[in-house]
Amino acid sequence: MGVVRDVFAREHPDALLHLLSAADRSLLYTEARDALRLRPEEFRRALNSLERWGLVQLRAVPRRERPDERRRVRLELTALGRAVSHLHDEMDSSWQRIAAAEGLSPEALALA
Amino acid sequence: MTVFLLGPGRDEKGTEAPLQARREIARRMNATGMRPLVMEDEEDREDENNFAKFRRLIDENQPVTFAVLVPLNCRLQGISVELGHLLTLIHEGRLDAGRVHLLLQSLLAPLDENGVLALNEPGNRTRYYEDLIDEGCPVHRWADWRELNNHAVAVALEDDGA
Repeated sequence: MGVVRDVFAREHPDALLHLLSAADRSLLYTEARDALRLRPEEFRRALNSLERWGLVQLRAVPRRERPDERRRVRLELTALGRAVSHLHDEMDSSWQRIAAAEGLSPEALALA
Repeated sequence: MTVFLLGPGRDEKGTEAPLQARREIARRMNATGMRPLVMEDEEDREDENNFAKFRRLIDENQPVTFAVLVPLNCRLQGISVELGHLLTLIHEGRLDAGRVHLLLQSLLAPLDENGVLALNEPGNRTRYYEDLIDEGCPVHRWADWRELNNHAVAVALEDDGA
């Protein structure tokens, strides 16, 4: 059971990457969390994984535009995500192995 | 294409570790063809004070991106002035907030379960820093050197229009 749970957890960063890519590279934190139907802690871990690789930046909705959304952030794929898609075929195996261990498949990175 | 690398020069113990971190990032950005700017490494002129030098470097180099590196436990008095100037430019519509990237050590910038970002380290920062977040400056959170480097590359690529 623990193994199954572990494998499932490793798929979350991939799923988040796919979701952001499909959503024009940007979603509100809560929109992304709800779309993936993850518990807050699971979602936080998936996001942390993408942040570790520099694939996601956070950007608050400017307060003067949406006072009710004060410092509520959007998740945005970075330019690194775009670059990774170009580098996909050239990534060395050690990079891929490390990324895979953190739940990021080459296929998902290619979408970033 | 120039990235202006801002941040504290010294940590609370007085060492130059934060400045060295910026220099190392600059070295890596150089290797990717970017032109990073570290104020401390630019020549001083006898006829200008610190703020005049800061303004001159912006005017002369026209940075496409400002990257503000903020580790934990550093002396932030100096960058408060620089951030205040950038905040003024943003507020007056003379600088796009999206060009000011905040590279914050993760513990400084916790997210709550609704995705609301805060700034920690009470007593060592002003609430004006949160204004930069309110204005829409991108935030990159990092926990260690490897993660910081990943985000620095992302910012440099942004500068490059990748």
